[in-house]
Amino acid sequence: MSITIYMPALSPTMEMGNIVKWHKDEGDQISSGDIIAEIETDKAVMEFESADDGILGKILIPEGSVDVKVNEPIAIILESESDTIEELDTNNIEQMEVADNIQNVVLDKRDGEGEGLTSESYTEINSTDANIDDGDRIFISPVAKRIAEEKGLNLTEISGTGPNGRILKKDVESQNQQINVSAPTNDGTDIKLESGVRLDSGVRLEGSSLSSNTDKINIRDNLNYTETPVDTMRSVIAERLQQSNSMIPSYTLNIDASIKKLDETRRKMNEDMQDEIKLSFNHFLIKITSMAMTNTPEVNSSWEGDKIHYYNSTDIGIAVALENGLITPIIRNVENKGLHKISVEIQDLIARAREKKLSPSEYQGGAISISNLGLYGIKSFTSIINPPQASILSIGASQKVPVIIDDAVNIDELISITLTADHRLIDGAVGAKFLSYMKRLIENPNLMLL
Amino acid sequence: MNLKYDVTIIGSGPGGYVAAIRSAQLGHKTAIVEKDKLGGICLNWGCIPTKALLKSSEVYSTMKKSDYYGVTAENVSFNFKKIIDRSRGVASDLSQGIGYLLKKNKIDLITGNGHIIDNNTIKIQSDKKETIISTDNIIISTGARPKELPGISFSDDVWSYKQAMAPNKMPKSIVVIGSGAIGIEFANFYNAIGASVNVVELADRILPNEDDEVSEYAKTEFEKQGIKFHLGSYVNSIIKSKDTLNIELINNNDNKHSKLNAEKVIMAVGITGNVEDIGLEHNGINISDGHISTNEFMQTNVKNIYAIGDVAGAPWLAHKASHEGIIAAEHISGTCTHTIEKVNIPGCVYSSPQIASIGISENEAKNRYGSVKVGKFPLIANGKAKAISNDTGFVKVIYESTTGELLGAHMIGDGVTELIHGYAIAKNMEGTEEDIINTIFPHPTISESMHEAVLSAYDIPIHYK
Repeated sequence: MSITIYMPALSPTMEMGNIVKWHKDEGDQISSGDIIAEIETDKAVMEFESADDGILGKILIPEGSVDVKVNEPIAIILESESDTIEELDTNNIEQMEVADNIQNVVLDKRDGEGEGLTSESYTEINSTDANIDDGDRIFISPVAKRIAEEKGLNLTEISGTGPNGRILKKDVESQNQQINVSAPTNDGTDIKLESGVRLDSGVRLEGSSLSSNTDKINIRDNLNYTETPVDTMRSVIAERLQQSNSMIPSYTLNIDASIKKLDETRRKMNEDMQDEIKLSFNHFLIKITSMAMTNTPEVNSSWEGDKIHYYNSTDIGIAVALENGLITPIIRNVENKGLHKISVEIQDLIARAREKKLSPSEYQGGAISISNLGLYGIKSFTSIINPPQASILSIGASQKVPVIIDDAVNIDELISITLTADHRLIDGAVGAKFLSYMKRLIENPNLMLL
Repeated sequence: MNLKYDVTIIGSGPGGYVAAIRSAQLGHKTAIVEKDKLGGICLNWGCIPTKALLKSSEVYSTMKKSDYYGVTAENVSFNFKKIIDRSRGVASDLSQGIGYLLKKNKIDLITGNGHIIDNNTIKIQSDKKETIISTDNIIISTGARPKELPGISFSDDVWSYKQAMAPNKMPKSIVVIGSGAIGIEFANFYNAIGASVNVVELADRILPNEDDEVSEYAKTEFEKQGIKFHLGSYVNSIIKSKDTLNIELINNNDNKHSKLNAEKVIMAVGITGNVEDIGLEHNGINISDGHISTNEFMQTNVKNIYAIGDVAGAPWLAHKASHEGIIAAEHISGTCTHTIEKVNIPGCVYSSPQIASIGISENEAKNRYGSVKVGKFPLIANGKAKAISNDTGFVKVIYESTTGELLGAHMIGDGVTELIHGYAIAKNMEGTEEDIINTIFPHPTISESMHEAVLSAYDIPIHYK
């Protein structure tokens, strides 16, 4: 049996990758977890681990190849040792033909039959062909592609009329017309929108006033909604969160903590530093989270299917809202970092996140993330875990509340902290212990010196 | 006779014989009807023999300036009869070649005038006999013939291209009416071998189908070679006195009259489809403006009758006819998957310098698309053109700004007719500027100018400005 290895998506925005190096040669034994190749994304060079055991049967895309599309087959791993070695020795040429056949299928659907494939492993390869034929790759002319991108058309919904179903300019143009046709026409009457954008035809808006990330919006059905394409980041967010929500049995715990003392400490520190550094509540929160993780190491973990990873360092993700999505850069080894270093690092990460200049290693991994919506006045909320992380903290806005101390009404300032945790590896009591330790540190910042 | 065919083609020009071969390839029992020589106008009286003539004039011109290249050739002269004979010989060889191709593809050749009796029957009339065949499908490829101007008919003095191509004796002076590709090629040929040539054109520029800038540049070059142009003018009358033709011109703008004298006139003012006497009327086949109307698969309003090539309308180009022949044959067999985009048909003029173009002109592009990117590269900045001392001309490209679609490419210079296909491929595949920018062109070749012109359109030329 054989397994086709596809170009992986190593970052949320990755669409193509370059194969920098193959670490294994054809015929090499591979174990799950072995690094088989180095792949360069638009952001960084990353190591690509095999998820399977077997023998590297055929490298389909050679070292040095650039712009290999995500999900394009790049290699074939043969599972069965005895069969494989025999095949590799005796049927080497045939084997290569089979592999070449796969590439041909990708390039040209007409040749997708894979003639003369008989053995079991070949059958498997054939079924892979079928997957490719099912529309993994879209054939489209460069001009049509550019127009489609411009208009934000979904290529999978367009049927091509060119050779082998290639999508041509006229196909994407007629697509647009179809949308226009279904739109209401406002003969001669210009519609003024509140934002001041004028609709000439009542069909399409030009300009960016209504949208931050698309130039053109198709308006249908009496302007009840605007339609924008789903970009890569949005679809990655959607996929991951959907997966998280359906796969992870999560629960939430909520605790209030007084931040009066912490706030005093923070102000005093900033004052004493004469504004050379400016520490925010978040910087403390990151440090406190790290300390609570060290105190409750079960929280510093991730679920890996049949095993659990417990991490030696505390790596914490910070949710950063971007113009058209969000990203969680990871601040690593927080246990070894002081507040000043944390503040400097986090500032840099956030700035580069907003410019979309983070390398994948800077936003992948970690065991926990912090999301703070206090700025928006949100008192308390829950978040969805960002796998493979095991939990996420949702920090609300601080609120002054009356408290009764010694039968007298006093004013305290509380924040709400909500922990959403993966029950598969963090039990309720563990989460509670973690949260209460956080509360203790927030309310007694001097303990941070411990 | 009981002759029964799947497909019968009337006319064996570049449209008809290609349609016949493709039909036979697709397994159809195929016949082709021809009243004259195989290969039609293109091969016998058009494309091919004119290129043979132009090669002779080019060799002659080159030899006259051989000293410039350090080569001595004294008393360079030419034998007009040999020039004409060589041209006829090439045509004859190729015509025989078509006969061989038809035979090899088991296509029956029926000689005579084809006449459509009904949509399944054709009568072929020759001097000797009459043949009736039945056929499931008919492809009409009867071509076209040169147009005459009102009041001016073809004669021994007023030549069509056919007479201009094989005269007994070289005329000393010629007036060419019409500055399209045919007019310009003959003007160029006769001027190069020493005739005095005047060209009369009704439009305000020569080669009116080309980009304005190409027209302007070509006119300047041809004038340097000695050709005189009379633009915005038409021929009012031709009066013969003794051996001289007195040609009266009227300027369309100011109505001024002027006179030219010449030994011969070549009239090249367009063509009209051969739609007569083939039985179109009886079968209700739609004709519009002298040409048979078809859909994009070359089908007429009678569904088993197709029309291709010149008889089916402009542009009147052999390569367009051949392509339409393939479309018709494939459509009959049910395998046709593509149609012709007119903007993807290249056009060539084999003058010296040559002119080749595809798509639309800069002006038309601006009118139609508004925002365009235009790039131009002069051959004077091209290494190969300098090396062969033939650096006249330029390459110009027009791109749509947002999509990067190649809207037009226009070239003038040595050998550009052999280069235009590069842009044709890019255009046919709907490539963007990136596809050409990322292509490696061989050095040193004139083709590098094609690359540079695109770079220039995107403000990144390497070898110019």
